[in-house]
Amino acid sequence: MPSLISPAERDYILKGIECNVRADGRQRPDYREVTIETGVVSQTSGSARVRIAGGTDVLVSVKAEIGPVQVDPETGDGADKGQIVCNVECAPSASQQFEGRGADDLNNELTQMMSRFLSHNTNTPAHKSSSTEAGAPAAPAGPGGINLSKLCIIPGQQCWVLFVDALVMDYGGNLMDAIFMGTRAAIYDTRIPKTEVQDLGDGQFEFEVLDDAEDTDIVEGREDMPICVTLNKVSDHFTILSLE
Amino acid sequence: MDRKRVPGPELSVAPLVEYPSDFKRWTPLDEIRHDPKRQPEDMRPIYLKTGLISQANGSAYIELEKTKLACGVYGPRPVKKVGQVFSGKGVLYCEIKFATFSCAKRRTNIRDPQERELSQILSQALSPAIQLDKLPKSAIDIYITVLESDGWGSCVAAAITAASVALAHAGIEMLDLVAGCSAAYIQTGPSISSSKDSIAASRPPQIFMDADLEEEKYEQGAIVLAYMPSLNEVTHVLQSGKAEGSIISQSVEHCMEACNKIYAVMHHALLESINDNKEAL
Amino acid sequence: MALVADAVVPGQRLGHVQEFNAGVGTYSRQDFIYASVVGLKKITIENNELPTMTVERENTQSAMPDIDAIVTCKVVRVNPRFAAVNIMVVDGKPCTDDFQGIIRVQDVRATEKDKVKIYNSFRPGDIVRAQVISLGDARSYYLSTAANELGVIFGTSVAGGSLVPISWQEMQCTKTKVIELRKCAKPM
Repeated sequence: MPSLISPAERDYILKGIECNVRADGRQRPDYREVTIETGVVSQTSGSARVRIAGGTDVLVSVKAEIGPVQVDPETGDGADKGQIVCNVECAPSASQQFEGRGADDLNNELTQMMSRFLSHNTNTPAHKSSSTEAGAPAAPAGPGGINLSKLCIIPGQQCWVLFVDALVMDYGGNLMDAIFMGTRAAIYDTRIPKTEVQDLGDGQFEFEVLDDAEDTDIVEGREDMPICVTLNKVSDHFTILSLE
Repeated sequence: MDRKRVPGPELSVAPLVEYPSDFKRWTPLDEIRHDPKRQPEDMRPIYLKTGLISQANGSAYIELEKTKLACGVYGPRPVKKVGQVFSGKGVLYCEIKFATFSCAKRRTNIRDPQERELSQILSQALSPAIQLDKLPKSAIDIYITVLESDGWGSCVAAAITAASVALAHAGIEMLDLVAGCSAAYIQTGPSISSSKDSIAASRPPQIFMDADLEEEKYEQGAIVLAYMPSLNEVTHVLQSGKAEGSIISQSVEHCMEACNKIYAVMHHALLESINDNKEAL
Repeated sequence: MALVADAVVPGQRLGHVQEFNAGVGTYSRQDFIYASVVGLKKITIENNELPTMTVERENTQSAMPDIDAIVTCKVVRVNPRFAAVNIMVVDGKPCTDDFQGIIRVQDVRATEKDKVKIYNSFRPGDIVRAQVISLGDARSYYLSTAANELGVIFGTSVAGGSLVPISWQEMQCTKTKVIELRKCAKPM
């Protein structure tokens, strides 16, 4: 539901922004208070909860599972890469407009946005990752920073698949910012079990997942992950982290 | 599940293509574009024509060499969707569909998430240009069919351009035409050393305007810009991949310049449609 | 008097607001007048006023009902509270797609509103001239026939003959001479 505001209220907000004061006392470039907790869901490999004062509440979880690698038939790319699968879901309880199928479009938009940044494979016809041809410019990591090659267990066969799921529990604007912060925090929190690969000969491999909670891998490239800031243009000025 | 058609095998792979031994795939090392006749700032020539779909209120067909798409606009017409609440403004609904044969990999008949996202991007890019407040209680539907796709970015850009021409052709009141333009950042030249970290520092990537599919395979990032040339306002920026801020602002400049050129083509196509009408009379 | 005829496209700058008034097919924004549709620009000069800039649409969009517009519609359904109609023509321009409208019982005529019976005013199949009084709800426009020249302009009797008006609330079948009740429009 678009919230209704009276012309007087609208004018008050606009004039305030012109004078660099917003309704809650912030100046134009000020953030709202952000709270991040990590390790909030025990069943996941990593999780984070981001809350922005004034409403927005997003829970991001990362689950690592083992799956077959996906190879591009034309270029042969992807044999030595792990995968990241993203999903964003807005809980119906978050806002009245998410009721029923109301959130479908938003879910899809945010999911595609996240996939574009993290896994660099938005099932576009164009395969953007680097080629194996000698000398071709090899991008070591996708734009999301994460080193996908490190997620590979047996090249051409098995790899880690990171499922990044974001659940929007309360919607008070700046959803994108909260999701990106949450994803970065959750990936930082993620621990992937170490694996041991045995060569059985004849190109046969076998691997074992080490069941040691103390000795685990981090997700490489996590410090290069992007975060995002939303600017709203109100008349001729920009404000950061505005309310809805 | 698609129950209306006879589906193919559940799992199929595209055949591996064996190239002749003297075949040389294009790489950015060549320091020229995939199409050697083009300079980095050159776009492909645009063919744009209105009025190909006789049943639609307005239509346009656009072709940038191997990127081809058709667009039909229906409306303004009464909102037919159930559960639609009263709205004092018109509703813009976009739907983009890739033909099953348009890409290297076969697309499905069912709308996939990417098509849904593109549809949303399109309506975000176009709605600022339409005077929707003059059309209460009605809907404008834009349907785009991609017949052949040669590059994702150029496809989105062409869709924006074609849709706004089709809207104007339908006689819908607009603030301005919207031109779409794409660019890709590609690392060129034999600057690749063994150490991976030095790549980024070596030299800035080249901005290739209107990259095609072959060039997109090597891109580090891409941008699609929707721009209203005569009002000098940007309606949508879609940036993916990574690039330095300076490269991005530079490519935005380039795209805006290119949009001005596209605007001339759009202008010409619409004036042609007037002449066609005259001849028909 | 038309002075200049020139083809323009949306967004094309046509002049300064101090020189012209923005007419149909144009809009003004930040001191300038721009075209909003594809068509031929025209400047009309009236005495002692700023010349008006208009753009004549080349490809007309479908007609849209607007408040106060006179529409021609066909009755599709009646019930005691309202008659549901399909709007087919708006101000003499045909609609490509039918718009839905309703004539509520209180909007049928201007006087003695409490005595109006929908069934004695309209029957399904009648062609009615009406005026749009409101954009209505999500689905239908609200129409009114509360004026002499508004009401049924064409109808078919039970027997299948066409009806001719004989008074402001009666129509006669040309075949059987049976009199049926309608809210008739005054012939124009």
